[in-house]
Amino acid sequence: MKNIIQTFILFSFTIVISLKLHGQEKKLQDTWISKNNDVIVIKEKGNRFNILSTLEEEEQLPLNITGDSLNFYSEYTKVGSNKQYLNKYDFFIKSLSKKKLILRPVSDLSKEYFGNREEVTFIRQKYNIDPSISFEKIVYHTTGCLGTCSVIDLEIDKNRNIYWDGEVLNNKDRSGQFKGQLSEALYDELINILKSSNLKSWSFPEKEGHDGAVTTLILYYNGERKYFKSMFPPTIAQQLIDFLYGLDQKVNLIRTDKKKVLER
Amino acid sequence: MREKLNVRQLLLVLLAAFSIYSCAREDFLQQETSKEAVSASSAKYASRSLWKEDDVYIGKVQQVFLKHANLERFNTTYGELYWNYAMSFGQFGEKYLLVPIVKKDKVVLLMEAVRKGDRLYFYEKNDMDLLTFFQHVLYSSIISHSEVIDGNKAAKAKYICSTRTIVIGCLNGQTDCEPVSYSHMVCEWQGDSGGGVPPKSFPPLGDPFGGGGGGGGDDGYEYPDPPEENPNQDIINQLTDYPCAQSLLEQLPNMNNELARVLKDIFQNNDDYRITFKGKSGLGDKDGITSTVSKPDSNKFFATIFLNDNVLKNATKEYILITMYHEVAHAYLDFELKRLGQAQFDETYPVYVTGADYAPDGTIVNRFGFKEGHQNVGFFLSTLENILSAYNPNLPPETVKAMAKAGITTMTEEEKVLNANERDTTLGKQKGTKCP
Repeated sequence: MKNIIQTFILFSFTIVISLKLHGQEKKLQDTWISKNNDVIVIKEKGNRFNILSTLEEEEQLPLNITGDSLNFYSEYTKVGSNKQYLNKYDFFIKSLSKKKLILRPVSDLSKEYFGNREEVTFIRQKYNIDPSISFEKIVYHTTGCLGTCSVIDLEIDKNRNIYWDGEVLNNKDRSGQFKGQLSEALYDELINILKSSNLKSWSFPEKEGHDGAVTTLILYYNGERKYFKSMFPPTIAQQLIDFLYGLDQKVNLIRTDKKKVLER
Repeated sequence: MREKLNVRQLLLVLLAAFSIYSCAREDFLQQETSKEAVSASSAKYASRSLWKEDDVYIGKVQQVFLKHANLERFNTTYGELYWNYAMSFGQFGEKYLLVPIVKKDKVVLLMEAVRKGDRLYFYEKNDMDLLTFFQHVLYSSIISHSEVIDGNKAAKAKYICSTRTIVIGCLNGQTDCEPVSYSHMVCEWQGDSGGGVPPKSFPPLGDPFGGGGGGGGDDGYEYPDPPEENPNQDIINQLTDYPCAQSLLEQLPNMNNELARVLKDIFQNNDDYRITFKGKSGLGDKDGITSTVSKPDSNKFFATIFLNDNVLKNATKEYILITMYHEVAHAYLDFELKRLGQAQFDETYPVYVTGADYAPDGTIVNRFGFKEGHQNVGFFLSTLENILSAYNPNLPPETVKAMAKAGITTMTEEEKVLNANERDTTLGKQKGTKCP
């Protein structure tokens, strides 16, 4: 009888711990943004592409969460050898709430990655809203690449009007000049992205590279014009870029003969 | 009187004891000297070299030697191995050393110990200049020494060479002499000596000396705990989640083409240059991107090649291979730009603006232009074609051409389709090899 009780207690304890850990994981799964525009994206368990990023760099990594530890890691070998190496970006979860995540880098790589900052405070993106952003217009250009990238020139204004000039590989139906209007839902999505992405403190890194599409974003808001151009836009801008890149397939666009020359 | 006698006796006893001690000490010293001479070949290694040597390797080579050698016969036939003066000539990683063999205070021969994998080979080295160099190192009055490592592994120079110099002062008693310098250069061991005279194998171990327990001269001797072989230390393979691509990357520097040589020559075991291959999701329609980092005030050059996760999972082997090489070409050209400077780079790598495809009879069938950012990559266009043909000789020439041109030149609609078929094997139209 005593054994049965002991087993039951142990089993219950294991269940409680498992649920707690699982709950921790669930609470962490989201996009987190710091005031320095570092971004952490924690995806579902087992995903190899969790994101750890600063303005300059982005790593896509598998992740282990155990108790108060957040461990991003990457495995690699050196050509000519089977020996496995491990890069570990370890963090201590100092605090986690509905809105805020405070991480303390504890391994050499994690410390170096965040410039030896003692701790980094992240805000869950959906709570990271800047209500003062008053959108006026956005101009987006993207170039070709090694691959099948579309070449796009696009403009959206605050009246939800969109002009789309694109060249889509092996697709004449989607290539050419189009105009239309964003639905309210799509427009709201755009505004939400802009308001929750620390727009006012953006900067694009100057990095040398090849074969990636060069992204240009010209943003008008609050009476200001902000210009960004890079082959390696920071992770913080990726949500907006992804939204714009595939927009022609979400909006009912009408072909137009009038070619509009967009600012560059 | 009694006291005087005692003092005298005491003095006599002390004198006798001192004499006995002196004789004994002399014998002892003689024995020590003799013992040192006898055991020079087997004495525990403790470097007395003027330079930094690969101590781990020297110690382990000595272990192997002592395990197999008939020491007495070796010493009688050749002389003493002066391990403490062994030199690895700027080479580390347990690869190479020279040990002087001394007979009657004269360096008569050198033993060269070369490790290949887990085998150790011994060769005779009877180079007069080198013998003289060692002779001076062991027995002359050296007033200064230096070492210059020619480590320019970039592009053409394949082997690191170390030049060691000593400056000899006056001999004992002389004062008005001019210092004399001796230099000697030893380069990395080249296994494929290109058909030259093969090194003379040393038979110190096993036959014909017969006391070592064999292990066999020509086949080398077992080397304990060889270091991990990293022929390409600084080509980082971060494609562990993509076994097919990972395996292709392992082959990349070992194929027979110009870009493979570039990978080997520049990035092989060079701490200053590194190239990393990574898989990346969210690249959308981009197949691969190369990012390079080089600081003007340092010699360091790092390239990262991001390969699209979808391409790594769905493209043919040939498509992945050519994408990797395409990116290597970019990394290499960036490296060359840093190395040469803009003016010399422009002279070395011409700008390609237009090109043409030819029919077998030499007539032009298509004209194309080179894309922005790829005018210099035109230099490697035919290399890329040859890589594909060599990798899969069954690949149709028009597919080869389309894949090599992708991203570098403008393409016909047919070429775009042929290339797209190799990019996505789920279409089932590929001509290349599907990754398992």
